[in-house]
Amino acid sequence: MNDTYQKLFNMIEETPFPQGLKEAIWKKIEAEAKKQRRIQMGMYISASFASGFGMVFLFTLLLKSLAASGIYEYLSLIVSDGGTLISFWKEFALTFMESLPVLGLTAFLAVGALFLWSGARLLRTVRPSVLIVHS
Amino acid sequence: MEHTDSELIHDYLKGDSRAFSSLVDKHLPAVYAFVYRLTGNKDEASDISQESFVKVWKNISRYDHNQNFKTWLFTIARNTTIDFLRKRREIVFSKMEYEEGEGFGVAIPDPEPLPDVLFEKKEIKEKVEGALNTLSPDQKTVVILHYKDGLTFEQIGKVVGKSVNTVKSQYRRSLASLRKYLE
Repeated sequence: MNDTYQKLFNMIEETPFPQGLKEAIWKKIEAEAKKQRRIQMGMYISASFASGFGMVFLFTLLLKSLAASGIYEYLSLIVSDGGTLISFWKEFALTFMESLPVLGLTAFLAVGALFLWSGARLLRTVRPSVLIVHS
Repeated sequence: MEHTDSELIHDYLKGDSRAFSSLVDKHLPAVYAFVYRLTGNKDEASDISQESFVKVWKNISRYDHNQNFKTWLFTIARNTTIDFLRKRREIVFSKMEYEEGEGFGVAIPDPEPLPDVLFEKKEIKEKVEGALNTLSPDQKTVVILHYKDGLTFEQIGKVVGKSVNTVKSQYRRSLASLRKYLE
């Protein structure tokens, strides 16, 4: 049964695709790729700027927090009385850690990481590899 | 050495841009022919083919390598065609569709082979085209994908989003309609 119907369908001549269709497809894909790159660049630029300003703001806050925490006194102790420090290093370490402005530090590092990441992605987007090479 | 579709996709995702070019070269004739059969218009077939390959490019990283690429490609082409025809308000894909194929699979017998004398007629080629145009879009899709593109009923089922039994039912109806028209 299938052979006779296959024979029938073999008689159908396919309409060849028009000249220029391949090129039209490439053009559309390249236009789409450019559009995607523009959107991505916009996102990464916004993220870089926002995180950059955020870093400056958080760094200022962090410095104030560090000053208020008394951590500079601990640091000066390292320089001035190293011997005592070595004897009581465990207690010193614990006290030092407790005095750190953890929240501020975490926020600053997180925003800093976002800044670096968005900057790296932006650079990657700006110099894309060749999208399509076609014959 | 010709690469398989999976190899070409893998190469493209690894950064070989020529691989996607090869994919398009390989499948564009079949996709265009398929879409043209559904729309009957060369300009529309061109537009839809372009749109289909752009969609393939956009979603290539999400392609499931366990799935046959041709099946995936034709699914995109068919859906794009449906969207296009819906906008033109010419969609009749729901016509003669049946949700359950089992009942009809039993009721419709396999069409008998076409008589040899049919192929001796000079005007048979023109009649075949006319016969195809009497089929509904879904029926046309099934027989074209089966006979021209070599897809199995299971693959066709994935393309049209229907069960294998429904596809077989539409296939039998299509052949019966073709036979009736040609005799």
